[in-house]
Amino acid sequence: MADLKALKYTIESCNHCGQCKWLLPARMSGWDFASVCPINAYFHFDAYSGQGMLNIAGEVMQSTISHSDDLAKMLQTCTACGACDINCKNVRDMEVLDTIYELRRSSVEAGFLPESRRKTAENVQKEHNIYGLPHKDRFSFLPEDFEDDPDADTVLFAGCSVYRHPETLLAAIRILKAGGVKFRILREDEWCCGASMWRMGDYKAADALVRRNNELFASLGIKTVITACAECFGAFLSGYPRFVQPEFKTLHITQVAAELVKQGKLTFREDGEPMIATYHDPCMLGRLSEEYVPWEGEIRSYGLHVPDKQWRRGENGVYEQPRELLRAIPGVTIKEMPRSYEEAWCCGANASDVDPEFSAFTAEERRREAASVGADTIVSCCPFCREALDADDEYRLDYKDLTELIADRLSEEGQK
Amino acid sequence: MLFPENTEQVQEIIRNAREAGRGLVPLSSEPSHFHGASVNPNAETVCFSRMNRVMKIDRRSRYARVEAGVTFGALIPLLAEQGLRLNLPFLARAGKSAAASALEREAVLIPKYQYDYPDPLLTVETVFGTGDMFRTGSAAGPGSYEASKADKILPWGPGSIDYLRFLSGAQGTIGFVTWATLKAEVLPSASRLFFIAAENAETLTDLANTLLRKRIPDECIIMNREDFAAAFGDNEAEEQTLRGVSPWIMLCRVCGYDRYPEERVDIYDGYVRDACSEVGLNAETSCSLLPGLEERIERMLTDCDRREKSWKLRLGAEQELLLLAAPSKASELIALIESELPDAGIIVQPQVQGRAFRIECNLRFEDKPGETEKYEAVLFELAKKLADKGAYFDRPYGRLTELVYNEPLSVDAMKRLKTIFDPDGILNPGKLCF
Amino acid sequence: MSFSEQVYQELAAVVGERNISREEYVLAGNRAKTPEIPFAHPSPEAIVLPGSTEEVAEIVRICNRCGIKYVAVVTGCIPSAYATGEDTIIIHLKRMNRIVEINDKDRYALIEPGVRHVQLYPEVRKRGLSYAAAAVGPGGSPLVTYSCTGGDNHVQYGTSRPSRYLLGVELVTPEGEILRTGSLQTDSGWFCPESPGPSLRGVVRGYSGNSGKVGIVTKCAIALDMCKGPAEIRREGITPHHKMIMDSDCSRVYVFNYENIQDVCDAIIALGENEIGATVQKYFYLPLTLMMTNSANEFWEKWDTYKEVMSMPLVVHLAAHSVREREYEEKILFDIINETHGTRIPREYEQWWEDHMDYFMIVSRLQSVLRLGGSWLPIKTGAESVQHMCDVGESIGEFIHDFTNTGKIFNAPENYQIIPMEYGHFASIELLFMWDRFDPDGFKNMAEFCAASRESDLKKHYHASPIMGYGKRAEKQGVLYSNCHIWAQLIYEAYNPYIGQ
Repeated sequence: MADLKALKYTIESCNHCGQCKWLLPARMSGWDFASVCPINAYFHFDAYSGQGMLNIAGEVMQSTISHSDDLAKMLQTCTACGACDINCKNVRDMEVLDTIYELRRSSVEAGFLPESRRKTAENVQKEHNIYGLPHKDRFSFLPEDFEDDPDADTVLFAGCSVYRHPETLLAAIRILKAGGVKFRILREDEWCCGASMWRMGDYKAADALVRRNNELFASLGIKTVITACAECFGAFLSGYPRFVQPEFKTLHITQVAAELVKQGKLTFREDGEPMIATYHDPCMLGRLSEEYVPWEGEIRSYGLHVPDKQWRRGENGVYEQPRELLRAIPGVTIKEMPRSYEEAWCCGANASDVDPEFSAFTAEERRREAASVGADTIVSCCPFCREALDADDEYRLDYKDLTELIADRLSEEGQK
Repeated sequence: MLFPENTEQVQEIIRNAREAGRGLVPLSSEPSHFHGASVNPNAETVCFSRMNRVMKIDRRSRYARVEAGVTFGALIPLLAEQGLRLNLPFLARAGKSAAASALEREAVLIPKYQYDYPDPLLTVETVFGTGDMFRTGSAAGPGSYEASKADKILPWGPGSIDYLRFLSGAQGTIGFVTWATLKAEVLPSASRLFFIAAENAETLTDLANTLLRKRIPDECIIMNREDFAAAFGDNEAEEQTLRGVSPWIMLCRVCGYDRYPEERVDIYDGYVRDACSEVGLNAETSCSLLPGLEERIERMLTDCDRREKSWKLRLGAEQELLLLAAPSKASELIALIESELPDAGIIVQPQVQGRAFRIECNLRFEDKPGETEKYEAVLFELAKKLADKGAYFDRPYGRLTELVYNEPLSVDAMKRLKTIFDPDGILNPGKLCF
Repeated sequence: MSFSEQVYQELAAVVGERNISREEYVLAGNRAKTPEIPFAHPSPEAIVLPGSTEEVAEIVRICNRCGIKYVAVVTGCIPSAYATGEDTIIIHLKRMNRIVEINDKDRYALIEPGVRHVQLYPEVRKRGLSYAAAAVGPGGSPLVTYSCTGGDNHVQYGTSRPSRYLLGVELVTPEGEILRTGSLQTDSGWFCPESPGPSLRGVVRGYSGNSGKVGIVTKCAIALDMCKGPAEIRREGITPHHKMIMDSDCSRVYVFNYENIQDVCDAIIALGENEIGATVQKYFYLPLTLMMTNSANEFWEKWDTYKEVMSMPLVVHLAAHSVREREYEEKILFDIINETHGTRIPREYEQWWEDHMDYFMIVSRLQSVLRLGGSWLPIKTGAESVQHMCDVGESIGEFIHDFTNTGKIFNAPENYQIIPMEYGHFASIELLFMWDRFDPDGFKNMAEFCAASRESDLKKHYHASPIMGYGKRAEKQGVLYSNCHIWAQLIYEAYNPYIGQ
């Protein structure tokens, strides 16, 4: 059962300082690109923000407002990008995003969920992927001569996006093979990671998936899960421990590749085409990928947490490895966007099913930001960000998935 | 003419005038009134010359509190005894009331000490047109003047209203000020005066903008050769000699204070020279047109004008036009004055950290019948052209009010103020827009 | 008349359906209680988001015609940003967020209400300019700070309070007219705040702002100063370990500790007389420790040590135009510190300041003071001479221990700051205190402490707290301050025929 009361301290702590809506000063760059909260930038009402969600949670908790279809739509429109959470935690000890998750959970438990999200849940239930495509086709793109190592204790986890972007998984395979990493692919055993269920607030479905996957990994002796999907990565690290403590280590392909480059096991072609790249930090690879450590205890006078609590303030996201890789690829120049690292502006993909106009606004805002720094290509490593940011519009920007870029630019020697 | 000696008497005068429906006009000190704030044929004059106590000089918190009749001539030496100075207007008359000068927002010589337009005016005691006494800012309280332990220097408030701003620049139409607290500054222990000559005003206003945003100079004033000669020459012959200066000149002084004063002067000397050389100007420390001219000018920049006759009246009469300009507009306005009145004296004083320029156009002439009216008309025509180009007449006297009070909404808003503080309209009636 | 469907539709016709809402969950974002005020605000009937001055004026006219009250809001982090009764709408000015102009030569920025410090500061800085950002955090509205509220800032030693920097103002009057003040009155631009004659600027704000009693400010120009430092600032690290480093040879930060406030007073006055330093402040040790730590638990771990090391810290930021000038300033600074018995704190603590230049620009991380639960209040918040403020600070010890020793408020008896301005001509004081939000008597204790502080000031005739309000409510205080409550009431009534309704 949703338990907003467990977050009462956070809900009642907000002083409306506005930090959940605006960039931290260290990254300030000008009038433009100063907002961090997509829903607040688009809808403008205070309710559409971390602060507003806390206020709504407070009223739901006290039953002064009730869940409804409209509220459910509003809650699910928020991309849950976590910028509000990280910004708030720069100065406060509050769990803004967890409150949003819990508010969604209570909305779902009250029976309110936008139709598109219901459909997603059904898809996962039936076909184990968010798109509802046949489960048997999940890895149908793999070449017949593809060989993995069925005894490996490392798995390359494809994620549901493999239906739409199998090329990313193929690129990851090339990287791992070039680096001499032994791995296996789960094929028909691989189901959705559960990120969508968890983040939309369908904790029952998420719990079932998480437990099933965790048990599967354990039964197969999997010690390490590598993924090229930021959403799966974030789910394993910051979602799974909410349900069951995972017994495997999670790595993003960029972490693995960066290490391989350091070890000299991956090298790049010198004659790669010039590219002015700006790197877009996916929320679930960056600020939201810190491992979740469950905390139960007492909050005493003047904020003392007993026992001590390990805070997730966005500090330990995967920020540097993608940039190290871009720097290592000949011909690639990096331009940073004002909102980058833990302050990255969300791509908006998460709301594309609930409010396509808002989602498009959010994505366009990011492309405009990328163009403003003189980039010709947005590079990122999340299939959902790709769908939001890969557009043919006035900004004339290419989109390149980092995993694919790495694989494309590997030297012949590196691919051996 | 009425000569009150204390606040109670001022209250009584105003209450009586209210009852009698008689107008009153304040006169703070000497009877040389170029701008005419204190000239009103429809009113009886209240002269504050007998309210001439220096109430307090505080070295530690750097202020002086003076009654309305205290003159620059009297106050400056008293401050100097305690190592303090005022931010003075240029060649203020020795007999001019220090409080009245600040109330009139007369341009001051040291823009870096001016954070706001009413500076150096800090607080005042006033008697409104209702007869009520009121103290502004932190002088308001708590408690009586004697009881309050505050230094009574904070200009803002009390509360969420800035009462001081109703009195500053109001030409006595809201209340009569009985005493004022003035900001004082540390008297420098070392200084260096620069003469920076240029062919046009724009070069110097731009230079002033550069220097003042860095808070480099203490005194800073720009003038054309006509006013340079008139102000610093003691007679016709000297004036003629001083007209040998460049068409435009900036006088700029850098100072050192209590500790290592010479070192500060040397450092700031470098800044002035660097800024000048960047625009192809020379910062000279001497001006050989007259022997001892440097010392004379430095003295005149740091004291009031103790000469018998105002430099502006050497020919017998004068008319002047005062306006305020944003730095971006200053050169265009000066050029317009120069083209319309090539023989006029022009003084340009950076104000409020250099964010505005007070531009003064001076016409000096012989005191013959009809001349004053003639030049008044000339300046009014000029004022109309200047207003079209963005000149701001923030201290409108005489016919200038015609140019200023023509926006109905803001005039109505100002009249509402007048109605509160002077409901019967007895204070300097008909002077502004009421 | 009460709020009705017809009123809603009229307002919607002005701002468009997308910019008005009466959904309960939307209203929830503007009526919640906050930790310092433990009761919910009345709910607004609707929230409207105008996009222009003309729309604001139209909304005001509709409200007047229909008998609807309104509150104009930008950030919502001050108690006056909420409805106070029924039939009230919130006019949220967030969409009016243009920086209309930054005039480099005339040194002003013309802004709308929705512009935030985090937007304006970098734009101004790019032009080598700066302004005093009040201590409200990066999401605060400069327009509100300068024209509507109070707001001292932590770098005002070399500059001044925002009230000094407010230039031309455009406001929608309570009657729904668009009034422009200062040089705007004669179409002469935004540069001068003073009206020709008695200045309407005096009505707009005084020591504190009047929170919209005489109109909704829709644009204002604020004066800018030159910034001594690089246009681009080096930044390092990830939150919460951001650093913004002013790696200029001309800039240094020093922190000294003192044992008594009169020595601090001597130091501030001597520094001001010599015009040394860009920022000088006697800071308060509780916020300082909170800013230097990253959680309440870390705070509790370090508090005992920090409050010893920085019991009465004097922070000095030197910013010069040249290395030689910086060295000259250092020489004078150290002479003064020696003469006034200050001691430099260990470098490990001082380094924090050097690494957090954002503190001196935009007063970043100050919201950390809320980390201990958010039940806090800054009181006194008055200003006067440096000496008077230090005397007020010294007197705090006479009444605070009854509260700190009994646990009624947080035990930090020296937690007041004194920030000089205009090189020591004036200073402001702020006594910041916290109470335990979980204590059922916490709010009562807070009120008692405020009363004790006020009583102490009045008994001693100290000018330590700005007077608030007007009319009967303020009578008790107003009679002690030249009857200013009466004049304030007359002024508010003259400009706002709807006041009190």
